[in-house]
Amino acid sequence: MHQLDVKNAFLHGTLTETVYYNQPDGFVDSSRSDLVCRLNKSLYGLKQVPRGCYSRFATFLHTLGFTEAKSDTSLFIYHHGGETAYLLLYVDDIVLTACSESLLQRIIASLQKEFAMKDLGVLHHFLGVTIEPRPSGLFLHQRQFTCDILERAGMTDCKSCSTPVDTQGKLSEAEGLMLGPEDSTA
Amino acid sequence: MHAPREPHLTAMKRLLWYLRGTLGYRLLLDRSFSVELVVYTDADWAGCPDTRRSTSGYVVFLGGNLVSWSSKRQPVVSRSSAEAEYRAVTNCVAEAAWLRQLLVELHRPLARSSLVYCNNVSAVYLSTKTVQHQRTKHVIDLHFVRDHVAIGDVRILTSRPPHSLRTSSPRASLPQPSPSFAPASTSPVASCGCGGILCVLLVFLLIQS
Repeated sequence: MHQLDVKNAFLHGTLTETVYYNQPDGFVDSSRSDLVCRLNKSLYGLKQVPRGCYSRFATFLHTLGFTEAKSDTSLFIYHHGGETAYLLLYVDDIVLTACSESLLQRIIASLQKEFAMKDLGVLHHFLGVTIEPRPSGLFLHQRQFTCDILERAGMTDCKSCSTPVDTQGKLSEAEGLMLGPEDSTA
Repeated sequence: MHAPREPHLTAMKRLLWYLRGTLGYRLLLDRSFSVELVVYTDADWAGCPDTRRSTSGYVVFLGGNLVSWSSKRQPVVSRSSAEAEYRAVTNCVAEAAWLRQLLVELHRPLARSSLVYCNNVSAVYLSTKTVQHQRTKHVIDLHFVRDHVAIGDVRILTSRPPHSLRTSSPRASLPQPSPSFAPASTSPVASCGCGGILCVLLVFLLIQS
């Protein structure tokens, strides 16, 4: 199972709509300040971008023989004469697995020819989930993510408890004292 | 969220204590030879003190591995506990149907019906009995579940004893999953976005190998 990362994924998309923008500050043509610019390629922050880059990938994967799964459009399946490969796409993160090493390398090579892409090797970290191989399977965890949350709350060394909620009593919208801005740490 | 009170802050701190206590926990996906799809569900009738809506939850095991889970307040008020449990069952059937479809697309369709375990006898009874009843005639979900039961995709059963689950899925690091939602059996691995399908795909590959 391999992991790939697309460099500057959002710049890969092609714009199908016409998008205009105001002349950027500091670059205003003083003689023609009423003019606007037209985008030729997609840019970060545009709302058309995520769909644009997804469809660019999807179109390219179709030419490689992949079809997207109906149950989840981020999963692409390659199934041609005995050979099978699965590709999971999440914005710029890709998990790729194939029935044989040669097929895997072939797909990676064609992807790299089309997009600037980094091969991160065997799958170990995907969407914040760490994947550790075990003799009979896999371990999944989010230790780093959890540590980050605890650190942000300043509770790295807090006490621990075995259940996440109190089973007695329910939380209500209107019970208890209101918290004010003085209770905020941010 | 917009008007937090002191009990909410206490609850949030408790969550962080729990996270601190479970830092060493991992979700184990084991190589398995069975491809059984088993779902456990439960509901807390009228659990929300403000809206009197119920909370329902489920855990989905594919070949003994936990792949999908949810705990969520229901969108409507239920008039009986059976109705609340039944809505929970409906969510399970929907999730199971999605997983079945996904496995078909992965060229490995499930040969056997998915099993949904629910601890409410009335809710189980409602899933097969096609009699119109005064107290359930307003529940549209009935027809969705009955259709899936009728084509044999899913069977709704009352909870099997926990020991049979224990023998079918030995887990080294996680506490034994129990059908009654011990909070410790749900791991903090996110099921949002692509996470859910990642779990399914990993388990699927383990079954293949």
